[in-house]
Amino acid sequence: MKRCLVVLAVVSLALAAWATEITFWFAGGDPARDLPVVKKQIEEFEKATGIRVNFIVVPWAEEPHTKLQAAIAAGKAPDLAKVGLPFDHVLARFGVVEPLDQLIPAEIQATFIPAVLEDCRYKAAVPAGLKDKLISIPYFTDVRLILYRKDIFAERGVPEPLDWTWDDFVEYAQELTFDDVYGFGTSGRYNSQFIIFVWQAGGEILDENGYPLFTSPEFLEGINFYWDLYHTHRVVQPGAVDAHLWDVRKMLAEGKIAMYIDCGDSARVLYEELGDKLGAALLPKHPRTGKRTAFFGADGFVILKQSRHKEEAAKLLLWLIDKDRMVEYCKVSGFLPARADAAAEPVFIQDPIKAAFIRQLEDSRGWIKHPEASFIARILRAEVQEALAGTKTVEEALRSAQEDVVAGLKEKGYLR
Amino acid sequence: MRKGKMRKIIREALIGYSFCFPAYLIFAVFIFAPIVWSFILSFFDYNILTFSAPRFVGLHNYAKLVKDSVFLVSLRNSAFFSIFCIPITLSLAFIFALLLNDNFPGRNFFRMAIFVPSVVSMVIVSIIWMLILSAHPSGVMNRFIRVFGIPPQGWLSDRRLVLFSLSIFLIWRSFGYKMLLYLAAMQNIPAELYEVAELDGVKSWQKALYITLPMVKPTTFFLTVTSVIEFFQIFTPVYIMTRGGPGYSSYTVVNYLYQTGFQEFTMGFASAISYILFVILIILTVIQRKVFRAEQITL
Repeated sequence: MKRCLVVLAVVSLALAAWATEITFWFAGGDPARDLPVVKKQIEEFEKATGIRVNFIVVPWAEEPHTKLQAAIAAGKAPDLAKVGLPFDHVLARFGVVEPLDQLIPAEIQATFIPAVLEDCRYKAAVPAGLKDKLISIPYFTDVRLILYRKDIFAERGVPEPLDWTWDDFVEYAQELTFDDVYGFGTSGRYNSQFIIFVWQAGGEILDENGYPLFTSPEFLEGINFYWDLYHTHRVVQPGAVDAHLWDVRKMLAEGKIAMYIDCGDSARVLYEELGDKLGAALLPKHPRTGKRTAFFGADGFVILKQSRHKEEAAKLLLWLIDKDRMVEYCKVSGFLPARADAAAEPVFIQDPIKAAFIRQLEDSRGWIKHPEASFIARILRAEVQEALAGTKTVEEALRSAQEDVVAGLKEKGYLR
Repeated sequence: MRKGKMRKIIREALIGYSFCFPAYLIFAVFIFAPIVWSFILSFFDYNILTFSAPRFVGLHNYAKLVKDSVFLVSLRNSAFFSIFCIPITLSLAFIFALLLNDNFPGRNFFRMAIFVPSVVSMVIVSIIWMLILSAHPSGVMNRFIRVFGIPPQGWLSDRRLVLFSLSIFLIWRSFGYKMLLYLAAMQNIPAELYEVAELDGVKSWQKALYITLPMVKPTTFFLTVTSVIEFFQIFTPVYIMTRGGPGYSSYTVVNYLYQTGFQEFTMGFASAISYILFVILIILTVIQRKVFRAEQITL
């Protein structure tokens, strides 16, 4: 009997030693909030499948995307990685991610919010064979909408922002600008803060051939509207040309601005501080186009080409994007689930703030999915800031951005 | 006999080198090889993800840099930090070292208080200063200047002020460490020099100017050289506080290097930036060395 037990123990140990181990890199996460949930889900996965997971968290402050590049260059890439999108497109451009169409069943793919999943399909022609392939699977999304102080709105006799237009937005912001309080908090440092007005006016960043459209009338209209908030209507807080969004969020918490545009995790933090004084509203719509398009970001999973355990990595991926687990994660993190069925859970649609985010998601878009997205973002941001700072007119700034981006894309072989 | 002696010398040399070998190996693998390798790669078009297949472009990256207006602005900004911050930082460090070299109650507390910013995480202090320099009228700095009747300023968002604001932060952050080195240098000055000066009725400021300052000259040289390198390599506070904005008005060379290398994936171009910076720093160091030597000879 004793001998049997010893043999059993040895066999178990040997099996454990032989069990496949996969490495999973997780970019970001809050150690006090959502990471314990992920760890718990991974432990359950290990118990259920016998696959061991080497779970490595790389905080955003430690530049996980840079570390991932270095790991890939060193041939030590993880099997599965959670990254900020559209970094998946950069990885795909250099052929280092595995297409997921075959690894993720079609019925699972069908459960995702279409716009969010569509952003995970590769659009460029290079490298060959990857066009329209699924290169990542979204985990959560974080659409940006208007977060506002209900108490300041009430104090100034301004109605709650429901089904409003650009004109109402300006009128409200003017009403809400008094003493040291500013109607609208924003920052020209982030493309997401102004590109929404371009989209709402019907503008696009690139055409279908990848040619920039910064000088189109719609683009101009969107940026001019944003510029007017600073200089014509004067409803924007001082220093908005280049403020950190944390600072803007802090101003809302302190009642120094009445509203600003931000995403779900900020809403969660603000709600903890402000409680029912915090409101969330859909973006104002353009009077002509009727669009109220918002900017969304997302985090998603990629399986690296270097992985020797792609099937096991896909199993973990499927485990984490299971509807209930996604709900469990998003409830804690404050983000919105990328799956439509998860987003339809009562916990999201019955909460007025989360429900607003879910509704805004219906009219929202991500940043361009181009391998040179960072380059284009830098040029556009810098030129719009030049216009906001008054060193160039909006027309001059956009023309300059157009010329620089065209030249850069030509040099890199994306345009002829 | 001679053969035996020769063998002994060789054996001793080998033993000596074998002790040095680990250090040389680490230096060669982790410092020298990357330096040489990145120089080679500055002639290639490559990025970290296509590391194995770089494309030779000759001097293209360098030629592009010369015409790159963002790089030139970054270079100008980095030079501004050096020219503006180094004299102020070293002067403050010297003055505070002089004050804290005297015996008075609470001296250690002040020494520590001034040194602490140098050892606190750059990211943390950058965030704190970003909030201090908030452009809102209720920002800490704006509330402070309001006492003097000065209207609120966009410390980090006004392109005319942003470099100045960042400089205040950089000086605050770095002069404590330099003060400590000056203090150490001052404590090595022979006390007799001051005693003789006192007998001659020399005033305190004259002692500082004609005894202390010349005696700490090697420290000043060391601090000047390391400060030029330090201020030309500013990255974190700009990345955290302004992201190089508004526009490119606070971009530094290292911020541009990071942006092009790790965000835009043009690592060959970024390697070329790093080599231009390297050459600039070498030239400046050689000039400083010559100037200090010439001054020593004159003395």
